[in-house]
Amino acid sequence: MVNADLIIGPRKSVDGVLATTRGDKFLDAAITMGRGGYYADPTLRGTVYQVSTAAAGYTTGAGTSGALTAAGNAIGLWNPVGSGVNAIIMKTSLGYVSGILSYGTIVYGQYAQTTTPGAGTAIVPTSNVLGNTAGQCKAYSGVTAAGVPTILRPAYIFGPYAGAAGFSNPTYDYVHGEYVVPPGNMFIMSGLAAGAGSSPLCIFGIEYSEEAV
Amino acid sequence: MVNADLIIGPRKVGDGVLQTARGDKFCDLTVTYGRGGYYADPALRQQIFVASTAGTGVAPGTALGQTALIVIWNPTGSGVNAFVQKTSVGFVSGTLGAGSIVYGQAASPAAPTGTGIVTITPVSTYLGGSAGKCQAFTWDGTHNILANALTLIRPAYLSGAFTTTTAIAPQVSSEWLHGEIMIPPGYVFGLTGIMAAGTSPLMMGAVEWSEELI
Repeated sequence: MVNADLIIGPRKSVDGVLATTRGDKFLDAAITMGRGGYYADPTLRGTVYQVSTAAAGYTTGAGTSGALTAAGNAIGLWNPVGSGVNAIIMKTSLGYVSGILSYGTIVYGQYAQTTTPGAGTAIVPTSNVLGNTAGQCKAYSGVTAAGVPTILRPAYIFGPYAGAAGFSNPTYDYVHGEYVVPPGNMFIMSGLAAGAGSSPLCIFGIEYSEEAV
Repeated sequence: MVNADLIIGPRKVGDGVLQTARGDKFCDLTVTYGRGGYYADPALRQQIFVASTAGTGVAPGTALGQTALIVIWNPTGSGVNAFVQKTSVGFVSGTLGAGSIVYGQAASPAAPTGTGIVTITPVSTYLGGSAGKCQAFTWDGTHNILANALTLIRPAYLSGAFTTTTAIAPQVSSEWLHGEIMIPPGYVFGLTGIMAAGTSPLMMGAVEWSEELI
């Protein structure tokens, strides 16, 4: 048996020196985050991507309360069969464009999608290494799934907002890898919105990492 | 005795190389999130599950009792502990009452079977993955579902008299718990309103949890 020993208490060292890990008074190893931030390593390796509906916006829905439908979902991230990767959802985000939103909830959903979605406007994924090429997954706005998606959970809540004066908090949801989209599945983000609204347009974004199956 | 040694300062190496871990100037071990984020590993291992009420909404409730917006039940003998990772709520319609959505717990050696029971099918967050051990339920808005009343754990969300005409900008309506609450076998964890009655308030509620072997 080999112990992983620590030296308890604060010290300082210099680059290139072999040093024993520092521990705290409870004998826990002291740690710090990697250089460049939480996600610097997968980003540097070119496995992190973003997809977003167009800046002109996509409807949050109006009179669509109750359940997701197969057609007209705001954004869908589809992992094709045979892609060789799992898509791991890291963050979603939402932006207001124009109009009067109705009221309700933006939810996440899923569907076992083994073939190319039937309709929707293709979105070209952007690598988080700016300038890199797209990965294996595909994305669509206004996407039609092969069937009615299952709701995973509510994510954003909204009322009949019309761009009131002021500035909102950041509108993103750190998902931190809680959802894995295996090949042959689609992750959806779309509005369950009742009421009439008036041309309610928002931008929907998904950030994900592609990791080998 | 073997020390957990580090080499201080930045380096880069190729894949597959056996290397000593990196440390900072304070001799702290430098770490990074797992690839894909905090939860990628248990999600890939199909240990994370989510349950949500339907998009048509459920009454959030007005007091701690034998009802709930949503409850997660860990069956007796399941062989797993359920760690609550995240909760979230959604607005559907009506006028919410002023008050709070709180977390509650109760002993439940047997499955909830009250007359108001509505079963929810949990979904693996490995999309298409198989179901776990825990079960989820909501209520019909009228009748009890639990054998024992929920007792308060803590408040989670605030509610004013939010209506269909309250012009709030979209905002995230979820809370990370990161495993701070554990549901052992024979217990339920739930979300319920402690709030005024409002007018036909309908909300969505969801819980995400990981199942770990006891």
